[in-house]
Amino acid sequence: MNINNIVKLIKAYFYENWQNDVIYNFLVMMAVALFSMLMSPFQVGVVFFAAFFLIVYYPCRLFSKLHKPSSRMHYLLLPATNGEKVVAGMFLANVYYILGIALSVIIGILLGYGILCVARHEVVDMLGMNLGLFFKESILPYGENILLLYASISAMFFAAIYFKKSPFWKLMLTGFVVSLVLGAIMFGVDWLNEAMTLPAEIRNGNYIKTEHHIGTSDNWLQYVVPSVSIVYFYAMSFLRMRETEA
Amino acid sequence: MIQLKNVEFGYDKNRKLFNGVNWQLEPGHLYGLLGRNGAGKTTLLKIMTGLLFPQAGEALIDGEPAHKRTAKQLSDIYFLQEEIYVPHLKIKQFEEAFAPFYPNFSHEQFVEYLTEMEMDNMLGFIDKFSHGQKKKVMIAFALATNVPLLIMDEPTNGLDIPTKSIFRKIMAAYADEQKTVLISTHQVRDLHSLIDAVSIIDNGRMILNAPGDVITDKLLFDVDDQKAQAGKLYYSEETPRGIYQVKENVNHVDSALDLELLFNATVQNKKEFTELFK
Repeated sequence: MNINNIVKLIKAYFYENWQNDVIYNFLVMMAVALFSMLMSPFQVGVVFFAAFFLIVYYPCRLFSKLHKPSSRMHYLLLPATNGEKVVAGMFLANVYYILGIALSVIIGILLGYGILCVARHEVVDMLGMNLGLFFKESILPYGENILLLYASISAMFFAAIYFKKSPFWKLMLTGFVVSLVLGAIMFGVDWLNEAMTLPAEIRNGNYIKTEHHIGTSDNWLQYVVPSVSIVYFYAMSFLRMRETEA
Repeated sequence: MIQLKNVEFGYDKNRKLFNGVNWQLEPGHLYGLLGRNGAGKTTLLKIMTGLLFPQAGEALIDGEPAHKRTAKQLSDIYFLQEEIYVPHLKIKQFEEAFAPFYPNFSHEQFVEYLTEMEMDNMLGFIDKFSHGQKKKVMIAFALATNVPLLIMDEPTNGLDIPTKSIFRKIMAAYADEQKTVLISTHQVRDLHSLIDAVSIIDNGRMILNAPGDVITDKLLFDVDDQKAQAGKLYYSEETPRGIYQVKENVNHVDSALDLELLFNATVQNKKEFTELFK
C-alpha cells in the first residue's frame, strides 16, 4: 500500500469532482439546513434525513466511473493497486464527504440562527443558551446512530463497485430482503428467549428472569450487526475491485 | 515485457474467441495488430493490460500476471482506448490530475505534441471539443507519459487528414530502443510507413507475428501487368494500375511492405504463413 498513490487518486478525484461536490452537495445541504431553520426553528429532522441520504448515496457517485465502459477502463488502468483505490474511496466516503456535509449543515444552522435573531431583534449569540442547548439535545443524539451510518455507507460502497447499473436501487432491494431475514432472526431470538424462560415463570408464578435467559436481540445485534457489516462490506469491496474487468 | 501464453478467452462459454494465443512483444518495435472486425483485437489488448482475465493460459507483464494490476505494471503501460474517456476538465487540469501517475511524464513534450496538432489552448475544456480534437489531446497525453509500452486502439479513427500526417511524423520520431508501441487498427493505410512488426489475428489464433524486414525477406510485394511466373504466388488483386501481388521472395529482392496485401495474403494462406514465419 503506497500512500503517495492514494494521495494521487484523491487529488485526481478532487480535480474532477470538487465543483459538483461544492455546488450540488455542500451548498444545497447548507441551503436546506438554513431554510429548515427559518421555516421551523430548531426542528432538524428533515435536514438530517437529507444529510443521511446524501452521505449514503455518495459512494454511487464515487464509483460512477465503474458504470461506463470507457471510464471504467480509465479508472482500472490508473497506476495504483486495487487496495489503494478502495482505501482512497473509503477516505472520501467516510471522512471527506461526511465532514463536508456536516460542516454545511452546521454553517446552514448557524446562518439560519443568525437570520432568526436579526429578524426577532435578538442579540446574535452563537454560543448562547438556545443554540448550545439545541446542539446538545437535538443534534448530539444523532451521533448514537453513527455506527448505523457507517454500516450503510459500507453497504452502498460495496454495491457501487459490485453492480454495474443502478447500484442504489439494487442495494435497496437487497437491503429489503436482508432486513426481512434479519427481522426473522431477531424475531427468532426473542421467541427463543421467551420460550426458554416461560416454563420457569409459569412454575414460579412470576416474571423474574431465569438462568436460561440469553439476552434480547436488540441488546447486542444493534452493535454487532453494523460492526460486522462494515468489515464485511469493505473486505468484499476490495475483492470485488480485484475481480472487476472492463 | 508482455507475453501471452496459450491464452484462451470467450465472452460466451460455448464459443471461444481465442484458442491458445501465444504472443510476445519485444522492446524497440512499433507493432501493428491487424485483424478483421470482431476478430478480438480490442479484447486481446484488454487481456494484455489486465482489464480482462484469460480463462486459460497466462498474460504476463514483466513476468507477473497482468490481472494483478500492480501499480508498477500499470505505470509502465498507457492504453489509449478507441472510445476515449473525457472528463469535464481543462487540458491543463487533466494534465495536473493524471500526469503524476506516470513518473516519466514530460510537460514539455505534452505541450509540443499539442502544438503540433494545433491544440495548444491549455485552458479549453476537453469535453467541449469535437471528437477529433479530444482524440488529439489524448494522443498527446499518451505520448508524453513516455511509458515503456504504449498501446493505441484505432488511434487514427476520427482524425482529419492533416492530423494523420502529423501523427505519423510524431510516431516516427517517438519510437526508440526502450519503448514498445502497439497499434491496433484496421486502417492500415494510415500506418503503413510506421509499423516495423506485424501481428495478425484470425479465428482465435495469432497467425502471423514477424518483424517487417523478415516479412519482406520472405515475401515480395509487387505490382505487375501479369501474374508472377517465378516463385509461389500467395495473393493477387487486379486493379486499373496493374496486378498487385504477394509472391515468394525467391531472389530476396527488396520491396515495400504493403500491410493490406499482407493481411489478405495471410488470411488466405494461414497454414503456410504460420509455418513460414515460425
